[in-house]
Amino acid sequence: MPERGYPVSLYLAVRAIRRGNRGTFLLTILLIALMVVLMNIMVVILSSVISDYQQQLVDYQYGHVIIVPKEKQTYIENADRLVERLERVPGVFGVSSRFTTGVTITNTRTGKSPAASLTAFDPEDEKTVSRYHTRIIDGDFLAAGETGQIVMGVMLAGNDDETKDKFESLGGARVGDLVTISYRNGAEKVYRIKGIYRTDNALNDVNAFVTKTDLETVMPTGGRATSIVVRGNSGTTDPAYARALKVACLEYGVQEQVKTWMEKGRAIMEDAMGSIQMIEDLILVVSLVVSSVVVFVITFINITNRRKQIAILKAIGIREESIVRNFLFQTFFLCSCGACAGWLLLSLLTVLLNLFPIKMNTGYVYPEIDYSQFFISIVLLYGVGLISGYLPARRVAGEEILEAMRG
Amino acid sequence: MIEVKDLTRIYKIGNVEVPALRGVTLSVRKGEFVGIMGPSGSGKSTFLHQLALLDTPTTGQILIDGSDVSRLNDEDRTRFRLMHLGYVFQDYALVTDLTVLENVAIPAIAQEKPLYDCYAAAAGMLDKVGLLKRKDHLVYELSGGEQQRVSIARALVNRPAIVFADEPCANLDTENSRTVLELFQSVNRDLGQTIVMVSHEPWHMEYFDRIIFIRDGLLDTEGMAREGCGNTLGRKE
Repeated sequence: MPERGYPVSLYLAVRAIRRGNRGTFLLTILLIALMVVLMNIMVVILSSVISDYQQQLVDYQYGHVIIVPKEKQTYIENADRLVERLERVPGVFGVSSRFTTGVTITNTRTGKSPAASLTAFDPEDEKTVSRYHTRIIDGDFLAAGETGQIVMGVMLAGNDDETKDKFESLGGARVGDLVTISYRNGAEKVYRIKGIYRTDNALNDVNAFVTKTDLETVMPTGGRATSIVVRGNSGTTDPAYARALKVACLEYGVQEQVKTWMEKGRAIMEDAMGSIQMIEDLILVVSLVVSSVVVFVITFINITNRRKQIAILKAIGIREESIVRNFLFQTFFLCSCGACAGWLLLSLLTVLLNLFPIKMNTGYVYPEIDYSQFFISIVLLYGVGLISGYLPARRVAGEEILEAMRG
Repeated sequence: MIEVKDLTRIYKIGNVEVPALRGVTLSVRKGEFVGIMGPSGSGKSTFLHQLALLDTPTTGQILIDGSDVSRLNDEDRTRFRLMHLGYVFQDYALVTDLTVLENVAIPAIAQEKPLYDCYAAAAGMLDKVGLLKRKDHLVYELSGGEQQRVSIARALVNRPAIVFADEPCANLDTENSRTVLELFQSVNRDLGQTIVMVSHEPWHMEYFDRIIFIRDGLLDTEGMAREGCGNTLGRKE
């Protein structure tokens, strides 16, 4: 007696695929592949934006771990001693103490004077925790112990044509220009622009840096810092790595607040991630609806054209379930081919986008396929594909034999 | 043995009821080659559809070897067709995605026999109908007569107890029709299968063991008497 009818379903499906219309088959696969690309491409781009942004947070803003003052305190006292202690923590590659203050910078050539954030550090220490020194586009980075020199971001330097500036700038300041800095304590000092850097991230490119030695001459810090940046041996943005480094720092008796780059950047990240997640979900839903309609229409046309054939199979004695399953096997095969073709297309697009990267506010985007998202989209594709294949197959297979044979 | 008791089939077209069968009672003995004849619209194809479980009668009973099959559910009817019945359609009704061999093998595959055995049985049947050499052709590459022989081979591959044929020669020329009828006659004789065939060609009568005439949805006893078929059971005298 026949059992589940799988062999006959598979037998019919294989032959229908092998001998079916090649053009329709290829077109269907192409359409499904495009749906796969549509479901993933925005995620690929947006994920790489996030990934790039996270890398920027580590490379320029916070390192892997950042030490900030205790609750209700403005400064970290005895910063140098803490730096020495942190340098002994296993896995730590570099430590830099920073003193950041608000200032007004005036370009003596253009007269422009925007408010800015000025950070003082030891340039040699800073080179071990951040990559500013590698992003100098004009002039040079600061040297240890030098005074009267300033390095600033390209967006703070600005353009001669201020309509091109996104933020208030110095109106096209160039290396060699003199700027006057007005400190909060009322002191003023003239600096020569030594270098201009560009990280391609607006958060970084509006800052200005001087040496700690210099700052001590106009605004003595008393050995204090506003933050201490710690960077591990690895360049990774893996949150687990940062957490492990944080635990190691705490085990060395750090009393100040120790935060990973994720914790420090949480507010910004969550905001950005929330918006991006919403866009991703919206794109996914739209793509799924379009995919299911495409698969449904194709399966419906295919099945309607085979109405008589289905009736013949039923008349021979093949069970409805076997006939429906035959179409499900076909749909499964189409979805599999579409998923593979989609992956190939997506990979090709990713390669192209890496060769010709898109420039965004956070910098150039070098996308990579997010395979967890890809896997989810494929599972969803199979889900909607099989449902879209099942419904018309069940409807036609359930028709009266003689009625279906009459067409 | 097939026993039909007071079989009716009424079609509903909108609010109008059209009786196609109006109470047919007869029996067919095991191993008989029975012809069902009658004018167009007489109800002979409808009658065959009921016997072959392709349609459900409005009232009445169909007993096959003592079992009432007229009230089986869809699933059981399908299984019964697969295991016990063969059917030859007027328009061949072959599956276009399949080759000749595959078309013939498909009922055996549906019985989940080993594929090798299915192909062997199909090849044997194709040999019997003289089409073994064309086993790898797609069905549309065959002539009408050849397609009908493939359809017959498919109906016979599982060695069903009963084979039904609905005007299998309707689209064939005389020579091909004769080939098909001789084929039915030979399988009936050699394999002992019961064959019930609808036809409207008078010259086909010579091939049948017995002829049943149907007119206006009823057995045509006058027609049977005129053709020397004797009584309502239509035995040839």
